[in-house]
Amino acid sequence: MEKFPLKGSREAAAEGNSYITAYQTVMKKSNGHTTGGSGSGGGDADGNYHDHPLAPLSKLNAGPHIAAATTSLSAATDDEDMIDITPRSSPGDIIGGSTSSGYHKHHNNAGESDTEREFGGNHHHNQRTMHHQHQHVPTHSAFGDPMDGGLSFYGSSDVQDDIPGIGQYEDFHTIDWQRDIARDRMRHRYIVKKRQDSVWDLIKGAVDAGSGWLCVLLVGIAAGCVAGMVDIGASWMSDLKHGICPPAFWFNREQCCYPTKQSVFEEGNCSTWKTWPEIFGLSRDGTGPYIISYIWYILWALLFASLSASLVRMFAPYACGSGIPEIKTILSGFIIRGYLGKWTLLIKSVGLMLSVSAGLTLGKEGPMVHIASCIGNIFSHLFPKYGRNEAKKREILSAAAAAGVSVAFGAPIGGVLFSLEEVSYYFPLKTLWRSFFCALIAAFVLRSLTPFGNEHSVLFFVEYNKPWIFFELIPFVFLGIMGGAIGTFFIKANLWWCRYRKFSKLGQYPVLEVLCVTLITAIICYPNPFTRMNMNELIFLLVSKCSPGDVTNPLCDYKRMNITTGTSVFEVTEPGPGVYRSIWLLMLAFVLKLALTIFTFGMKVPAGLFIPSLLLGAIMGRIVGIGVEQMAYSYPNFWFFTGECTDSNLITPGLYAVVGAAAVLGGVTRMTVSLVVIMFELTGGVRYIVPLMAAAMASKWVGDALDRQGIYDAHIALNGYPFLDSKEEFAHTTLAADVMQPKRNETLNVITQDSMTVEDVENLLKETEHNGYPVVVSRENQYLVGFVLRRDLNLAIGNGKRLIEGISSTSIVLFSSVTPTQTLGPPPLKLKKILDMAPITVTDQTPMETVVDMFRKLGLRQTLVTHNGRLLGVITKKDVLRHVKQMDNEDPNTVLFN
Amino acid sequence: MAHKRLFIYAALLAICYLIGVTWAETATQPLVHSNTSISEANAPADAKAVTPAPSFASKVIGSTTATTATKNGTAAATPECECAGALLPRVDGNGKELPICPECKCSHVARNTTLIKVVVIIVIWIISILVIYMLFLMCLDPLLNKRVKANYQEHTNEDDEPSPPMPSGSNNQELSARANVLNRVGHQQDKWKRQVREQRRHIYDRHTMLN
Repeated sequence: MEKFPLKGSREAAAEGNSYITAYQTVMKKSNGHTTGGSGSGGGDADGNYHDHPLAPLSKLNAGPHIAAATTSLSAATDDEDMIDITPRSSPGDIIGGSTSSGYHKHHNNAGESDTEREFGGNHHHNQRTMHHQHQHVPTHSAFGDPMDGGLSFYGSSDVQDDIPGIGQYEDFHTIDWQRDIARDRMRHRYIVKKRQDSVWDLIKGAVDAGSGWLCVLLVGIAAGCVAGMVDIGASWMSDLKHGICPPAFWFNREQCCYPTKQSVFEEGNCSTWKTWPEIFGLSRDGTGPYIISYIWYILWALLFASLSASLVRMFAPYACGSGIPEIKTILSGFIIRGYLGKWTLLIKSVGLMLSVSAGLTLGKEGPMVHIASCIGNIFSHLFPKYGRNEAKKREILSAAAAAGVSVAFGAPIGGVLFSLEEVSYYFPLKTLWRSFFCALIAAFVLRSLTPFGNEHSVLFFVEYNKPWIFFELIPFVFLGIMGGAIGTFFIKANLWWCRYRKFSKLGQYPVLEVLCVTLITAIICYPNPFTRMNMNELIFLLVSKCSPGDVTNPLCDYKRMNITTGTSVFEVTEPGPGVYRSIWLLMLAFVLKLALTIFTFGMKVPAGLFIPSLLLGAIMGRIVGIGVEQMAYSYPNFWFFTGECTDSNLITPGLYAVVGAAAVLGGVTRMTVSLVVIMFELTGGVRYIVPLMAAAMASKWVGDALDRQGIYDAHIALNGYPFLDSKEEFAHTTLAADVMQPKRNETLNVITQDSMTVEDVENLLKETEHNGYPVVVSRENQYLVGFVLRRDLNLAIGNGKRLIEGISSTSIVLFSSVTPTQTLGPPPLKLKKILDMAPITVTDQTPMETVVDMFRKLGLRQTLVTHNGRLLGVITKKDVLRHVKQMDNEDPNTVLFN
Repeated sequence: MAHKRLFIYAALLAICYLIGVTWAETATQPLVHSNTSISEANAPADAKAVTPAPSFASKVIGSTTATTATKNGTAAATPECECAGALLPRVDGNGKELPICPECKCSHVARNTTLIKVVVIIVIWIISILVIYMLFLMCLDPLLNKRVKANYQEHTNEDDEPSPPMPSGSNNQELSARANVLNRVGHQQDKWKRQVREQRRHIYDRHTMLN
């Protein structure tokens, strides 16, 4: 279990040898073989089974004994059968019937040399002798004897991949991390072995070793380019709502009025930028032009929003929403085909630009993570090592998610930590370094692409560098508490609305809903100058310091006075009427934006919520900051205001805005470390880490006390994605026997290793819908041999029927490596290579706590339950998820599963 | 295959239109620029925009408009922040050194205008193509499909048919090759459309995902 720690520790199995040994140990245990090399299997087992009274088993044996495919655990009290623990029941076994001690010896000593020989690739040996040697020896591969074609799992191009599609997964299935990682390990060993053969193989090995870095390099470059395009396009289209730059239509207002610095409130003396009334020959100010601007603003917003919604609906419905809940689910090992495809990438990028420009209260940061993950997925297909192995692909996706945040905020380290803290599930240190590199490259590319000048890489640059005094921690913690409360309220309200949308008629009119919300947003937001501007601009305004002489910004309408006390002269500021007016406007804006965000997030357009939550927090923080500043102005002689620094104005409202923004974002997403890092990378205010940490912590505490789930987890729960949260604890006292399928009085569908015909298996596949079947020795002796997946079985049978002559429906399906001696009838279909010989097993008395832990940490897809060494049932991830939901008193049927 | 060809013609026409529009914009651009204030920025269309004319690119702008040079509140000292000589020591009338422009912030800003132009034009292109294709799929495709379905009623399982039944008289290689390519494109398109329909069912009808 320690071999694949999910987070934090270096991948322990970097060398194939240790891995194989460990795996064999697990395998031997699970197959019921004792690891002690001395005892012969028969003798020991004999003693064991006689010692065990079968009393506890008998109550589970109520099921009827059915023929063919389904077998119950009907009282197999035949002791003679139970002794036979080594799966050797076919008559053709005489040759293989060497002594058990020889088997063990072979197993222990000859392991390595066997591997060497097998990886040489010459698997056209004399079948007889090979079978003799390798009988029942679970060598080196979890998927059967490599001699029998385990090589096909290498995924290497020069090995004939005889059954196409093995190792892939169906849509809406969970992946088996163990299996995929083992496959990759096999492939790696094969390449390492081949490296000594020729220079060409050496080069190929080197390319393979470096392909991970190369892949994340490409992902970083592409993510930076796409983010740059989205940035430029969105800023241009947002300003298109207000006017146009006739000399060069591709400039936004800032670029159009480049030489003169423009305030966001008025156009000033910039004559090149034309508002829409001016285009129509009217003047810039006045009632008529105001109405015309208003109408144009609404029309453009409607146009952009309708385009966005209909493009998403037409081409890539998966492009809607923020995508982070789905990315989380995918990274935890779920397959959603097409979610990270090319069309999703294109439509999400375009739709994001359009919906941001429409003035909706949404941000482009969450979707940027999705876009980067799409890029990661697309590029991983260039490298078969990653493209054809879902577990390995998720390493690239983790790095890509880091790059997404890196380009969205210009915060590379924050991106890496976000990937680690929030989205990733399996995050070894190797992935951490790759994420680091990927985020670095992406940020660098974006930085060099961004044509807007220097300060743009830091989104909301705070230019002040004032110290904060100890007393200010109280308002900061207060902001944190408020942030947690607002975040929780937002989550609850948004979830309520989304649930309403899901179950009511509203969900049938996605485009109309987008249009309505856009119309309302545009109508409400235009009159208020604070909501009329872009949210980015507003946040920038809120976090920035008022400099003397700033006359256009009503937030900076201060009367400045200089007071001389003794030798020191310090400047105090008294808020003017403009500040009071803007406080009212900001409060209004806060309420509006909160309401609008609740209704916007979850609409069928690409929409993130980082920026709206930052905005809400910044408004709140600025208001609180002005209040504290006012207090300091009114009572300058309070002891807590007499800090260290008295030569200038102590309280900076902009800092409160930064802290508030962090608090609300923390309340909504429940991030801590990555949030603080993102915030100080975003603002460049390294000095304010402690206030940010205090606020983030307070916000997290309050939020968790009110409601445990963050917004992404809440949306995962709403959609019922099969996400097994590795952060939560399972604290119930149930046992594996309570959860496993089949329940009592039902039968377990198994496949026997050498007695079922193709027709039997096909009938079983037809009648049942399980995704995998345990393979047992025989129906009477339900001793576990391995586990075979439905998909692999289908593919292999189809492939066998097509390619191997003589296979008919009466052929025996053979999962053991022994060929029956009788040659009557059609030749058998050998399927040992698709058999997973190392399924993880637990006993029926294992507490569910352990089982859930195994599922989380090992990334299992299913585990088999045994009793007294005999197969009893199966626990799948779905069962675990349902059980967890049931224990938490939720509806277990909401889990989305194939 | 008629509707496929029609679609390709429509796409070609759209591309030609877009090329024309883009070209027209570039052609008229220097003319328009000559009488605007930003003309120096990119007077020739192919100017190296990373480092344009030094007079403009290295133009350093003060981000505040007015400053108070001294603490005495006489705001008349330097109303306009001149970064050119801001760091040089200055003396007032009494020979006392004035503090160096305390509130004036000077920052170096350069921009790349060509990149903005190219990106914005690419964005317009992409959106236009997508919109045209969307309109085609929404309006024309159902009509054409209906006609095709009426013509070939047995055309139900597209997976098993590698090529449609060709008229036996025409053994033209070129024609069949083109038909094959078109067919493959159509096949891909059908597959993609099926996938999108599936996605739409998940999201818009059954509401199992992305709520």
